[in-house]
Amino acid sequence: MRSFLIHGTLLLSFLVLAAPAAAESSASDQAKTAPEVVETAPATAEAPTLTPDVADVEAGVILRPIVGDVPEMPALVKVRDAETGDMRAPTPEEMARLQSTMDPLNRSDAGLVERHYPDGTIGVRLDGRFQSMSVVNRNPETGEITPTCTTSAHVVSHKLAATPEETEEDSDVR
Amino acid sequence: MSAKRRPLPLLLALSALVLLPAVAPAATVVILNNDPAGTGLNDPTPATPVAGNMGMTLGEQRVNVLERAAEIWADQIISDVPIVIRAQTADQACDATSAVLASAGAAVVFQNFANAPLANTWYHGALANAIAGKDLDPAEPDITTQFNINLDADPNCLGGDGWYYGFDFNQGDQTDLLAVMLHEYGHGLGFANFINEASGALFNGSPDIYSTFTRDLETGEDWNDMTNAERVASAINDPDVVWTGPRVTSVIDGFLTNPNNLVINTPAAIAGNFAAQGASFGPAVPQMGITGNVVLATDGVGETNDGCEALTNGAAINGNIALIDRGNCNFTVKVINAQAVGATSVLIANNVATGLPPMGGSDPAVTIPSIGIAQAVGTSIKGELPGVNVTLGYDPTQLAGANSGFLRVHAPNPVALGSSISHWTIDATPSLLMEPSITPDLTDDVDLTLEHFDDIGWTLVEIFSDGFESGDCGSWSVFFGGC
Repeated sequence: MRSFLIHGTLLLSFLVLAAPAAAESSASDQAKTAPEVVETAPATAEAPTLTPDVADVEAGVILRPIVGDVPEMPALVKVRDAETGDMRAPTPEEMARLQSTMDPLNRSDAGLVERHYPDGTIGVRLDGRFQSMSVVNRNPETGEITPTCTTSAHVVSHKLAATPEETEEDSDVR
Repeated sequence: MSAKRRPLPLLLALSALVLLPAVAPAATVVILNNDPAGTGLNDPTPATPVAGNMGMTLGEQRVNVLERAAEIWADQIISDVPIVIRAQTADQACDATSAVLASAGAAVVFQNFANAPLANTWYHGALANAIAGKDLDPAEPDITTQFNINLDADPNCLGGDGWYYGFDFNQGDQTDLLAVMLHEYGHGLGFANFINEASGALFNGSPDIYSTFTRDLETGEDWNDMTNAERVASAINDPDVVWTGPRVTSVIDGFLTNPNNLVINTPAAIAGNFAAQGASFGPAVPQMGITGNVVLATDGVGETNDGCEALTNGAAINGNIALIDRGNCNFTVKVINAQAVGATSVLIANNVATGLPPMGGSDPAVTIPSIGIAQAVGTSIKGELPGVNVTLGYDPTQLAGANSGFLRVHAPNPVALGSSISHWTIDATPSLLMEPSITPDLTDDVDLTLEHFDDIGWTLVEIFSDGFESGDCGSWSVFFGGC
């Protein structure tokens, strides 16, 4: 087995249509590092404008947009201010942090692109979606902080805003 | 996670490579460092080498962990195409008791590529490349991953304990990056479906290779044959959702153990065999079992049967089995309090109507076995005290985590509470790498995930008792460098 490290800066693809959070987020009134998401609205899936790059043209790749499944993730996000308790739009910093947290858990194919190769292969670049994520919270009964892997945006928002009681019910520590 | 079946897979693999230089590497991993200079994976802050990680800066140590996790996998799967992982750190949510740790997954999916075993079926990018024998999309990585830099950067994040970068899975109060990445890479290599469990929709209208082997025993249907509504219903149908891959199914009988149980011997009115949850701390229940009379523990404070304070009926408990209610303090505290007055073992009765107490925690001071039992069972015992005789033991008719001869996948209700389907069940014993909880007892043994990878199409490096490697095509491949 060999492994190599390549230092370089690659453009990170950010999903711009989808936004974080679950409508069922906890109503905890505790101040959180991550803002509590309390109101959301559905996103609208739009087929992207496709412009094949030179490599695709040379390889004979044909691009076809996926209209796809309705996005699981909402586009509009409001948060409850930790100090005032009022709902407000997230700050750019809060939005960026939520975006980075929730984008990987988007499990919608809407807006992705099919790539048809001359030999019959079909590929889709997932643009950072369909990832699995490890989250933790401290279990009040065991005292442990045990990572839990999830593919659900709801689970992440729930765990990051869980009250101790909710945390106990969530426990699946062995 | 157990190390009993493959105690030294990595060590043996490396030994074989040394002894047989003609053997080609199992796979090549390329880590693309996606962080800017001076931060994250390039952080120049000096660091002291820790537990096999010889990096001299934080950035080097982080990179070394990412590479080490990739190496553990790549030593056991075969691909002529380099597996490319794009890695970076990220500013993600974290506070004193909760955090996003890391994420990873396939970056691309393919179908109808050369040599594809199943037509019109999505495969994870790294797997598709390995089967096709070429990089199907050279412009994209096969796996992407990121982890939360705030564990090191923010003193308020999880108490400021930070990431652990050692290779020995001995993280103490820190969070073990290697264990987390080993698990997450498993998803990127193939342990995940591409179905939207919220809607039940297939990815872009086609089935995926993972769902090909996912079946609901109640309906008898495989996931790829279901309607969207049927998949939504099945996703919460624990314990009836199973993995039907033939390789995994063929080995679970020798891998999974019998689950703990509680047999009530007397009185006859409540006698029977009941499910129980073993504890992650203290000694396991001995194979011969522990038989004795049950005494309800009393501590005289607050909820007097929760065992959270020193017990006041120690003389009665001495030499018997203590019954304690769940709640108000750690499981380990309850067991230590019973142990202090001479209990031979402990039953923890659940304080909610469904399920079993999770029985997690760790404390080396615990020296007696304990199990969790259902609330109803605890109530029945209390109603017959004194005079209840029980045996803590194992149910020889069951395999922990299996149903009808198949290993179960995680399908809790409601679906939002779990990482449904794309994990093994949490009921498997021993614990498995690809359960949703990344347990503290991880090693570099990737247990049944290898058989799972065999089911979905990976060619494996197999280690035989004589130390020779082989791909699925036979041991001769050792000498000729491939199948």
